[in-house]
Amino acid sequence: MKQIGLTVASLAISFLAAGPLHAQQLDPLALLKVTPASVPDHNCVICRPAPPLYNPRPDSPYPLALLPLPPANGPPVKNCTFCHGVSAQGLGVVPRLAGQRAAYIEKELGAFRNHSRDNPYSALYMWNAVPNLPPETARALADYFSREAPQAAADGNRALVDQGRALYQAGEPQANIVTCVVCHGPDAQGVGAIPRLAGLSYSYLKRRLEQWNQGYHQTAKPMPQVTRSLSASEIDALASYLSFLDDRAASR
Amino acid sequence: MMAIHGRYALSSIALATAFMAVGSFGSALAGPRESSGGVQAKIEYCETCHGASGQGFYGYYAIPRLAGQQTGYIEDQLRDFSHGERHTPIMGPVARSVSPSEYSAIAAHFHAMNSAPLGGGSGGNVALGRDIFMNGIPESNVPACWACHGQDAHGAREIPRLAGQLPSYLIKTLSNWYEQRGTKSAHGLSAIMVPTTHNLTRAQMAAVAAYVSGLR
Repeated sequence: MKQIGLTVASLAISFLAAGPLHAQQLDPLALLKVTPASVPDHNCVICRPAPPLYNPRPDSPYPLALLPLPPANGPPVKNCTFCHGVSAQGLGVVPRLAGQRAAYIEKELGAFRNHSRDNPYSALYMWNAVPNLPPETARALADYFSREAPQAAADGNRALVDQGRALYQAGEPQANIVTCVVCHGPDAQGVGAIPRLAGLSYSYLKRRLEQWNQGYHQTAKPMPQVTRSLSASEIDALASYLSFLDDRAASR
Repeated sequence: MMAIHGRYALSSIALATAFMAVGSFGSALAGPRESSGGVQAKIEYCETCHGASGQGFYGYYAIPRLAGQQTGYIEDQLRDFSHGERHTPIMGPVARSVSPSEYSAIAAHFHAMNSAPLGGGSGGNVALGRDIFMNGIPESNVPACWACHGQDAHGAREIPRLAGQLPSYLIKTLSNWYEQRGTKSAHGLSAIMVPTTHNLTRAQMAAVAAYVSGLR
């Protein structure tokens, strides 16, 4: 009984793998020896030409609509997308790569390689992912992901957004908390090797801010010094605010 | 022409009113209290943005180098920031969190730091910059910079050191002089900078920045 079940399942799988009935396999027009031009109103699902692929960034060498399948000669993104998601939007503590600054991604790949970014998950996952990554591939990956459109994770506490925005924009000079805006920009879009923070996930931002205070990734100056003055509730507020921030909408 | 003058006059009055409002608010806040953690904590707070050893930092905005800066200038600017006479959204609240009694210690700390040029081009024409710095631009009514800032661009007292400053910060300062420091310049030592910066082209600003940022 079990074997029959398995056979049925494998048959079903092979049908699925073969794909739906398609014009190339069973082309009714070819059988009839007529071309679509001779039947102008012919518009069945099988014969209708595929719509052009939507590409919101025409300047990108990587057509976004092809995701999650990168071009054959493109960078080996599948290894990244296993964890970072097929459209690289990240998941919880796994950071979003889409829209991240290319120079920042490249710098961090270097930091995983020389183990200076030693946060627990970095050591567990990223240290083993990068040793054989040639520099030109690292650059191509950084370029590829930076061109994908980012979406805001929006997973923080909405009640803390106002407090987070105030901290982000002005800091708290009395408590020696610097503003974030000076380096990360008015809409947290980042610049150069300074990362885009807008819309990163609450869980990722919170862990990062906490882990500088726990002694991890001390080479990322000036962040270890910046986070030193932040309380747990202030970290909560900042991470919440940033998780909802859609800098592309903000700058429009 | 008259219309333009009229508009300038109106906006100056509006600006002056705004600055006066900010100024009185500022002085109300800047009480004679010590800041949290004392002067050493404040210095570390400055260095978080202005770079380790006050070397400046390229964030989203260029954050100026403080190393080697004249103490009189640093104290003067902290006062202007906290009274709203130099208008930036970031430094106003920061300066108001520093007690005036701490100004001199902070200024002396950064003045003593290594001010050797950092290198790295700015894209400006160094030869043109040197020419403007030494001779000014007579046809544009731009005076020679060295007349006040000194031949070595080290400045003196309230006149800032320019030598070794980050070029993009210098360009920004020359571009937004009136917006940031118009009120102070109306009655102060820096009055000359209003017409001077107004008459410089973008390329001339970049040239001057390229020249002085490479001076030792």
